[in-house]
Amino acid sequence: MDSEESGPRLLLVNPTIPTRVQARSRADSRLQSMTLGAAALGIAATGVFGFAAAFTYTGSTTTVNAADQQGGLDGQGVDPTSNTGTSGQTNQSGTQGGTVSPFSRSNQQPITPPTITRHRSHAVTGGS
Amino acid sequence: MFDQVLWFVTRGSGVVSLLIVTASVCLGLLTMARFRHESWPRFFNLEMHRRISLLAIVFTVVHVTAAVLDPFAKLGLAAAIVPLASTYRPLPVAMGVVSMYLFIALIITGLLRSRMPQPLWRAIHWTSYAMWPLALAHSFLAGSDAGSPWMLAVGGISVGAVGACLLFRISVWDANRGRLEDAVLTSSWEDATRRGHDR
Repeated sequence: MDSEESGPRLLLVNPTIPTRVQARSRADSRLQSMTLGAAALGIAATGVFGFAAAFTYTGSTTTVNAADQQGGLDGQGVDPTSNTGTSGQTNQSGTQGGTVSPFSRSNQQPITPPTITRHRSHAVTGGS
Repeated sequence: MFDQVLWFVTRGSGVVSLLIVTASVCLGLLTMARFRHESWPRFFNLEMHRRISLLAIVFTVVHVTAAVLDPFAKLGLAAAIVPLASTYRPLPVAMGVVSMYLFIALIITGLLRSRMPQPLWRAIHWTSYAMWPLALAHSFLAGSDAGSPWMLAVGGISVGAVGACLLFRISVWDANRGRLEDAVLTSSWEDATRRGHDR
């Protein structure tokens, strides 16, 4: 009889015995830490993927020719990710085409008449 | 320098958004499949599904905002909110826009679930099966990293994860339906649950 009465009291007093409230609290804190961890991982991954995108981009499709250049100057279908004013790169090169690494922007010439040739259009090096 | 950062953020947050949306879809499927493990209680599925979905919205907003503000991309606000308004790859960008709207609808109806008819909520929630493929297609068709090995890996992981969760969901469909029928027939959820555990 004594042991039956002291059972619940022991449960309340003894902190080592897990209760439903404690389990719930632990689960809540675990959920919170997982959420925060996911957020932190997402922020870190944004940086990692951003740099991966920047460094793995070859810029191999940035070669322009006179016809493309003319099309860009006409303002038809200008690729907004490119400041060269060219068009038609996207269609020619599929998913890789048409963009220029921002590393190369300082080396890009402004939009000018089609004096640009195939040899001077390498985006990353700036060409020479 | 700042515009370059925006360019990196646009692409990085886009990939992260795809991964988080994928995780959210997987958790939704696991919730429906009533998945659980000794180290993963069943209610974690739904809780993490909700939290990860909200997190995905944050990264999606960052992705869109960075794309609009990036002076290099020059996407424009209209292209970001109106499908097919973009001059750059109109259809792939539109896929992303539509996917974003579907996702916002899912989030809003998820938050208002208790205040709306269950069939309507369920019908809207089924659009997630269209939202995720649209987001995936947008990632590969609008992005300039589609041919990169790391991007292919991201796509492969996403497709593999959702495919595995979908298969698991289908595989336990009959078992869960049986438990539901038991519960209806016996009018005792506890009995049905116990029987379900015994199976």
